[in-house]
Amino acid sequence: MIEAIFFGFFSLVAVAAAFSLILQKDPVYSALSLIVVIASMAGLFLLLNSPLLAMLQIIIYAGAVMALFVFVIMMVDPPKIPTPSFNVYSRVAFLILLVIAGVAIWSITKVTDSFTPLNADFSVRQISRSIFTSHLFPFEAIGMLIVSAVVGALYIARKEEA
Amino acid sequence: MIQPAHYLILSLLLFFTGVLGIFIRKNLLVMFMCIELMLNSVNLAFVAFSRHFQNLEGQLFVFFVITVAAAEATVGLAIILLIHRNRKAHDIDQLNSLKG
Repeated sequence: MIEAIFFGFFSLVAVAAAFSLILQKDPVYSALSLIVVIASMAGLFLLLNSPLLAMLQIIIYAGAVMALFVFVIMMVDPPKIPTPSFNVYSRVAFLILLVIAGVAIWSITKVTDSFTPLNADFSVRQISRSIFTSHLFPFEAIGMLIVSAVVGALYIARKEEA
Repeated sequence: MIQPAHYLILSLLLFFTGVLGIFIRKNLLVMFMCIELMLNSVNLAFVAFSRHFQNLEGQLFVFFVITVAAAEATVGLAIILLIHRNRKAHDIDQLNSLKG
């Protein structure tokens, strides 16, 4: 029962903040709405017995990525135009999107499985063991990806004369 | 009680909100945030399936998706900064020099 209350709260906050993200005029408010979405998503991760991912979500997304976003918004200073624009193309796209979403939600409601009590080891210890044994190669590859992304970002964002 | 289908429907709603944002917004930064929203909604589906099948693989995938999203945000924001510096453009409509 308490789980249902928390799920309802977090999901309502997430959907409301997501709509606020796409409808705000000022990109700074969009960024703040995205932080709210991410925080409620972390709450949902906690409900799904994955505290490690909830913490990573807060630290990496809400902490690092969104701080980067806010810094870039500060440097770019985009104009506050009331942009939500509906031309013919986006109307047609919106209708197609609505149909796809309706069919997808209708087919998901056919799934009636329910959660069974947790009997697998979902501890941080077990996740770390998997990362450093059976998933060692993807982990190292992701390290290479991060390094190349940082070097590339520094290269393309540098001043020309330097 | 809360079932996997509820999490999937929530994930789908957030994903389609992100797609809708890509359609109706012209601002580069907001479009980029919509991409992050879509990545997040997929993460939610991964974790819900991981919990349902009692399998840790889904959580490991989310770990990797979060890392790739961070790398992608770094490069994407650098590109947005470069576009701003060279073209003074905020909207994708201003970036039409490839148009014939």
